[in-house]
Amino acid sequence: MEISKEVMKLLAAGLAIGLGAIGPGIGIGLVGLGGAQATGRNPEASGTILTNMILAIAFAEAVAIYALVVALILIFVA
Amino acid sequence: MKRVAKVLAVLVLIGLCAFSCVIGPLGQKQVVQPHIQMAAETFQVGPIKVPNTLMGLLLADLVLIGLFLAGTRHIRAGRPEAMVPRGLQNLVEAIYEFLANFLRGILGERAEKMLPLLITFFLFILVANWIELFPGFDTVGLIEQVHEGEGHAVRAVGPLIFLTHEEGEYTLVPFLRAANTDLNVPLALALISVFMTQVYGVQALGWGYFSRFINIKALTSGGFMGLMNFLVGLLETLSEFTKIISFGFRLFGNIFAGMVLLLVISSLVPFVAPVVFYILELFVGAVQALVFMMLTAAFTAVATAGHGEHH
Repeated sequence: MEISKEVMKLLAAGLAIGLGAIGPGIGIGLVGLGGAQATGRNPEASGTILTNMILAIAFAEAVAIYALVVALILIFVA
Repeated sequence: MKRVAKVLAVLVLIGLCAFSCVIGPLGQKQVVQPHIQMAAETFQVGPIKVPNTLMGLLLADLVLIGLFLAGTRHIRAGRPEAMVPRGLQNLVEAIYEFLANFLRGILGERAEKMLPLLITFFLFILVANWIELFPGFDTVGLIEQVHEGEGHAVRAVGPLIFLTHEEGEYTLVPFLRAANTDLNVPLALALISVFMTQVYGVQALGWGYFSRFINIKALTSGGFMGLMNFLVGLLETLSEFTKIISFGFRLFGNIFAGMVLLLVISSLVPFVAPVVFYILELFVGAVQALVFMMLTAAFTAVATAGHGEHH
């Protein structure tokens, strides 16, 4: 397969979401670790912890969403 | 009796497997590769184009409205038996009470005004996501000629027409597709969510709410910190717009990826294996609905908290 514009686009989209998911993946893992530890230490506060955990996950996940948007733009628009 | 039922269930399962071995892949060695398209497929109905995600959305609405109308019929009629909830009313009240108490924990006394919107977000997204897991979604539809890209040849079995794996010029346009796999729906929900956050903010703090974004007081009070606070306000403005993007694409990305996952797995291993992923999608659909509701609630809590009362 020759390296055409189409091939580069697909490669770029794959790299964009693949590399872009590394950071949020680690981040969400750390949030989950913190949430599980906090719940283990103070089970009564699990409701509040869950709320804050999901909020923090959303902020970490937003970065992955930007990568997804870039990948989608590369495939469908660029 | 139980034993007979079990044997019958196994026989039916084997029968279904055998049936789909013959009919499904039409006895061919390869299974049809799914056609994946981001934009919703449309049907020409008279002068207008009806996207299949609209059908999924209306179906979800119908299920939700039907469930809650049936569940609250005694209350609306003012019958005395509504005082002791039974059956469907019990279920509906339990759902509402669980969500309402959950949100009251986040929002405190301001919750009451926002409950209808937030619970509607949750229930609508939940039903719209879960309805995709019903048989018939993404799989039953009209066979149409492809306009671009690759298609498949077709073969008729009785009155039904199936795609084959050979190259051709036909593709399947499903009647039903989950609403949230169309970017328009999550984006509309995101716009409503962010807009209503501003409305609740203004309701709680008056027009002074907008000093969060353009902090003239901080600028005129002078000094380096004043300038910094003003710039932080501009960042807040930007983050309101990125909220729309992240709300919309989070929901869209998760549900669309779920649909693609189910299609691909079903085409790779048609039996048993997809069940695991259906369970996963059940979980993802519920989590996304919960996240959408909770993020809206949390952002509203931030927006309605005054400058002094951060906790």
